[in-house]
Amino acid sequence: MEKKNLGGPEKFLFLRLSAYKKIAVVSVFAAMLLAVSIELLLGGYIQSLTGGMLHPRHSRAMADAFWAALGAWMMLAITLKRSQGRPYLAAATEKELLDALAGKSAHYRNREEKVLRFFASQQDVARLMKGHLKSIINDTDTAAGRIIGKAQGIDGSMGAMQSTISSLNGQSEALAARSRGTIADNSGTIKDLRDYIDRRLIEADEDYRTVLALAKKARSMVSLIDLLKEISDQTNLLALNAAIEAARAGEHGRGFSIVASEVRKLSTQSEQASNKVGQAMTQIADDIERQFSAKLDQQNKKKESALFQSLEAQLAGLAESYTRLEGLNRQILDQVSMSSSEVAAEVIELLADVQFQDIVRQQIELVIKTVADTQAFIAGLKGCMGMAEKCDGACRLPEFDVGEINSSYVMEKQREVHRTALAPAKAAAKDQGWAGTSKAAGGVTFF
Amino acid sequence: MAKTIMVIDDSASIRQVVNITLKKAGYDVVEACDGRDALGKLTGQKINLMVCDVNMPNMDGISFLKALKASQGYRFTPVIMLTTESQESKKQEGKEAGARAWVVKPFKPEQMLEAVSKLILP
Repeated sequence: MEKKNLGGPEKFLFLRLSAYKKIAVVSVFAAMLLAVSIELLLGGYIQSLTGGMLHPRHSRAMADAFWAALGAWMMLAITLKRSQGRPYLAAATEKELLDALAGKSAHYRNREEKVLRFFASQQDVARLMKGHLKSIINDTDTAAGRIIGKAQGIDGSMGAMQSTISSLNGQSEALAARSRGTIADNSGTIKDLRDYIDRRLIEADEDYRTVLALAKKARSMVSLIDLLKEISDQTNLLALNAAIEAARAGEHGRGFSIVASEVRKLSTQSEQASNKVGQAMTQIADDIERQFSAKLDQQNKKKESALFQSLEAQLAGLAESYTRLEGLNRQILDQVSMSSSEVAAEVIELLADVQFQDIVRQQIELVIKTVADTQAFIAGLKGCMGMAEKCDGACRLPEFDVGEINSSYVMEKQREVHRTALAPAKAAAKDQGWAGTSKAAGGVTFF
Repeated sequence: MAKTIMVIDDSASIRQVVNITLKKAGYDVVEACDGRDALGKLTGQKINLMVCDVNMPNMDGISFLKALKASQGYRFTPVIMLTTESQESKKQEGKEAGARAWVVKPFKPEQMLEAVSKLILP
């Protein structure tokens, strides 16, 4: 603070003193001078009063004490006067002091105006804070509503997925049952086919042997033809002999000669027929052997059997693959079902977490209330400062009690924050601990 | 027929959370935003249980509870108080007003469902 210069030379210490101090110093010196000048008289007076009972040295000491007390009283009086704002003024310094007081009054008036302006700005600050905090509440409320909506959407989708999975499970079960039936039928059919083919192979083998026997018989008939041919030759020879004998018989043998000639013709025809039959039989045997040899070839039968075995193996592999596919399908459905159940449970937990919006809202609402209380107190203080009349004794405004906020708390968390925040600096340094919101669940009490 | 539960809370998000939790468990839910709104909605319909907040505008939970206990139709309806407040003195106040259980927010859905299934009227 700048000290007001009251004027005059400054080389003497006394002149640099304030008016009050000058008065005090002068008073002390005046008291001492008076003590020195009147001490003897007073000492003698005391001496006379006590009738000479006191030693003169003691009387002087008493006089010293009296004057010292008088000096101290004067200094005290001056100080009291000063503290009451009505200093004991020497006429010479009155104007200077009044000027100083006027300067200080202007200074305090400026301060007061500044404080009032600050109070006014605080009203706006409070309104701003309330506005921002309410905006936060609205925003978090909207966000919470949106989260709940989205969570419900996810929950709905999970429900739909679960019902789809359930339906797919049913369909899969029915399909699997049908497939198992088809696989069993296929196995039966394959077995029947196998039996049939085995039977057919045996039959074909028998057919092969029959046909070979037939061909053999046909070829064996060729030897019969040779026999017929031989008979025919013999017949022809016999007919020739008969014709010779008929010629030898003359007229009587003419009829027999005709018979012999006819027999020869018949023999010739018989031989021709035998040849033709023989050729035909050989042709038949050749045809049989040629026609059936390919079909009844044992090598071919083995190939067919191998092909069938391959087909049987493929069908069995197909059935096995289908069974494995069905197992995989079931695993996938089970996994998806389990995952969707977990997601549904997490959605419920997520919804439960939205409660923190309400908790935070209540905490912010308390801050808004505290701001409003502070605002009301400032308004009262401002009104008080604007009043012309002075306070009679102590200020009528109650003190602003931070502890009163405690009564407005609606949760233990707020009380904990209150305790921690207003604790000494070492606790305040650990503000991370109370800045967040606890996620611990509350608990249930039954009455 | 599903049992009906009335949820009374000034926070829309809390009402929704409780509503979803209860509906998923098979209950029907009626909502009210404070005690006064709840009293206005009690028009003779069967309510098997109520879940009520404590700090609410217009009519707080304790006042609502007292009004409910003074009524004819719903005096025996069990009420679960759902609040952020966990002070024993407040719980005692709720108990004296006729509450059957005191659930502190944030609640776990299974805790709420356990309390509901334990107290709900047949």
